[in-house]
Amino acid sequence: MISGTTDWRSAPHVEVGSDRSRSELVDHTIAPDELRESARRTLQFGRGVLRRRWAAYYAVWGLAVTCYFLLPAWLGGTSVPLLSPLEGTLLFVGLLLGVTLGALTVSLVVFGLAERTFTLRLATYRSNPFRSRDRVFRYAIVAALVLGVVILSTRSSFAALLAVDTILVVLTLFLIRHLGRAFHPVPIEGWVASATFFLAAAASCVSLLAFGSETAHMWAWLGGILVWFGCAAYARFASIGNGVTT
Amino acid sequence: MAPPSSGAATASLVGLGEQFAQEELRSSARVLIMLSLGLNHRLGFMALLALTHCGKGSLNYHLKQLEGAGLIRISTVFTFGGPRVVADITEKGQVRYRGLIEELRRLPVSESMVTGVPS
Repeated sequence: MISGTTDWRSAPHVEVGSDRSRSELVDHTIAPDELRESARRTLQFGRGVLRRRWAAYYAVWGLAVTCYFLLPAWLGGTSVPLLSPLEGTLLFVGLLLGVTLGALTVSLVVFGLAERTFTLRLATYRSNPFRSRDRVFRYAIVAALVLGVVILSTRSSFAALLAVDTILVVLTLFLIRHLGRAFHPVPIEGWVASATFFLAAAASCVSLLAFGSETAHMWAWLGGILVWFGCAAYARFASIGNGVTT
Repeated sequence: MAPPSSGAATASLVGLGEQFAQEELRSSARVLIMLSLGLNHRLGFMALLALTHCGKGSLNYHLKQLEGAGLIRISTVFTFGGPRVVADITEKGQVRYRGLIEELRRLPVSESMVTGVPS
């Protein structure tokens, strides 16, 4: 939740009955330029809020991918099985679903805020660099999904990993599209997070195709997860003082 | 984008006049609060103070005006840092926010939109 600055004492103090307090309370008809200036201030302030929400997005997906890797090892790695196969499978599926649903919920909140910011910016400035490229992004994402499904239809575990990685490579475009719609300009952690995501997915695709190795695939993603956690911490740190607060 | 015609600009100004004729939006602080809550859906009291640069009493007055008009809902939530006063936008507030965006979209293009300097 977005809350205020650390304590009430840091808030501006206005004497009751002073000129400033009176001017803040006088009602008047809003001029067009005042509306535009309010929208500008809202966007400026919203940038801090947005960075904080994106920090949650990086962190939650970093956690989700960690769980995807660690849960099978954790549940299947004990020499003395604590759970029956059925219980283990149910726990595994339950945890995976929980983590994925949590990550998807955070994504929906963040992408919703990105879309609203985009709408407000477009209404305020009448332009956005990502608007004209929107159709290209949409086609690329659909093409990647189709390619992923085609690879998946070969029905082997290797193909399944490759399909997931192929989809993830182009899902980077989806991420960049939303970053571009949310921010102008895109902050540094946004570029780092999307580049890492793309590189991790591409490196694991290449390692699977060239070497047939799932180890390299795992290491590529573990590196990516660490960078995502770093991006989350940086975005949270950088948002403080940018209108948003501890 | 081409600037709107003079007819569209007049219609926009008439629409803007109608929007702001109502008591609850006859203040730039309240318009700012409405735009920010429309964008973020929920903001804390301290975040709104930082946004509007109002005093606490003035902000409280503006929030009460908006709440009285049914555009926002003020409540206290409990967080790890203690209780916090938050403002949420209501369904009616969302409609008004969309109206503001529409008016903003229909405003004639000014030089300040290109240069970033308010005229």
